[in-house]
Amino acid sequence: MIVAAAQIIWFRRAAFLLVAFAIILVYMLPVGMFRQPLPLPAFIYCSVICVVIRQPESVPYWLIALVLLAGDTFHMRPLGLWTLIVVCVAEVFRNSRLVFMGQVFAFEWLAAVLGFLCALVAQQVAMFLLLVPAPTFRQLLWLLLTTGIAYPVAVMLWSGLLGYRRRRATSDFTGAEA
Amino acid sequence: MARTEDSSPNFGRSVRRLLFGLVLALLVALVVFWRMDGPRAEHLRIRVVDYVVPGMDWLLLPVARLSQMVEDFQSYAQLYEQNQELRRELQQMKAWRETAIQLDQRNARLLDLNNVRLNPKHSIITAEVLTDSGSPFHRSLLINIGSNDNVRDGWAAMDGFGLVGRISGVGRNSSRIILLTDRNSRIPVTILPAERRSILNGDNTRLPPLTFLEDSRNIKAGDRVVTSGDGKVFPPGLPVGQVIVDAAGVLRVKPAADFQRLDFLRIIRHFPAPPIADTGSLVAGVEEPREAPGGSSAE
Repeated sequence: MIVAAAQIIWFRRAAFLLVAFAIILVYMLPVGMFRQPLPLPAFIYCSVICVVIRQPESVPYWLIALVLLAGDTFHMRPLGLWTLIVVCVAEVFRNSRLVFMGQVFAFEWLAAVLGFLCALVAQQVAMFLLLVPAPTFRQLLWLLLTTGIAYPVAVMLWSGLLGYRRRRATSDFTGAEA
Repeated sequence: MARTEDSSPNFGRSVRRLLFGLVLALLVALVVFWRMDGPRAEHLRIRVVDYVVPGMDWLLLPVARLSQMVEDFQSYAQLYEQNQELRRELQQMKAWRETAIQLDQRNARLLDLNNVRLNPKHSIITAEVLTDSGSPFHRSLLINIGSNDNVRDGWAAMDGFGLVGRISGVGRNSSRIILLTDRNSRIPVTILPAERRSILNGDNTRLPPLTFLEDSRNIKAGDRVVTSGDGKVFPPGLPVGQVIVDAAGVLRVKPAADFQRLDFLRIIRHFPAPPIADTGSLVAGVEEPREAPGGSSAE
């Protein structure tokens, strides 16, 4: 029984990795970069937050780091910076996931957007300190908007389509194996 | 419910905390490494991308082609208008072509009369675009040629119409092109009838502004912008685009390249002339003759 549960967890981790990589690749498709009037949403962030709230054991911190690092590498972002921030934000959400139990979805949505705002502010500050040219305020505002719109889509994808749903409270065990 | 975690103090939990701290420290170290030793970090990145992306060809290309087909299909809707417009343009172009041929012949005659020694023409390599960078804050592309094809950093990339960007990062089978609209792109340009030097300063918008322009009096919207060749990165005279003036009065450039359809790119092989470090003995004096045997010093 325990072996079967462990297998399921590893299967879910592998599936998360695979789908996340697919999303990263989709973002790299050469389909005209200027046709999009708005920045594409940070869909990987949405996926991580959505799954970490529902099934924290399916996305351990090292898996998040791996996926985000791949994103940093392929999307030509500063190596490791966004990864670092998202891993921290995801841990905050992991530790406070029980807050979202029994709440309306809008509450979780708002929290995810606020988390993203914090992450963006942290990134701006870090880029400022590291003397890296940072994106403008307006671009970030649009990114916040598109990501906010994308969050329910991510929840639909992960929770509805791929079955990363919340377990009952009694069987909510932590992913404390490492 | 939350208590269940805390009430089971086990060894695994502290190990997990330790490892988590370790991962965070590693990530901080990576960021610092990236900032301190940018070229090496970018080299590392291009190695990884070079390893992964050409292998994804079979996946990336069909999807991209499919999306292009959808767009092409959409453009059939305005087929009639397009046709009319193309006819009009063609008529104008025919007149221009005649003018160009005449000017070309005249130019050749004059050059011949003056005994001008021309630079050898630059040769080109054609490359296919593999991927965009997905980030909203960077404008770069990946193409399918690399150091196996002797591509070098800094070479100019053009589409059929004008400059697209330059090579920045070469892997074995792929290279990264940083577009001229990218925030990190600075291209020395000349604005043509007025012969003004300026820097085309990418800012992630589709119309990058012209900066470091000393005197903008004789510059009008519609003036041609070409590379100036300063900095010895690009050959001079590559078409970049046209000047436009935005609502705030800032001079910007509308790139000639069609950034919406970057399928194939021409990479211009450019070997800049070796810098002349030697001042020559005639000017510098003869007390310190250089040891280079091939130096053409006028004794």
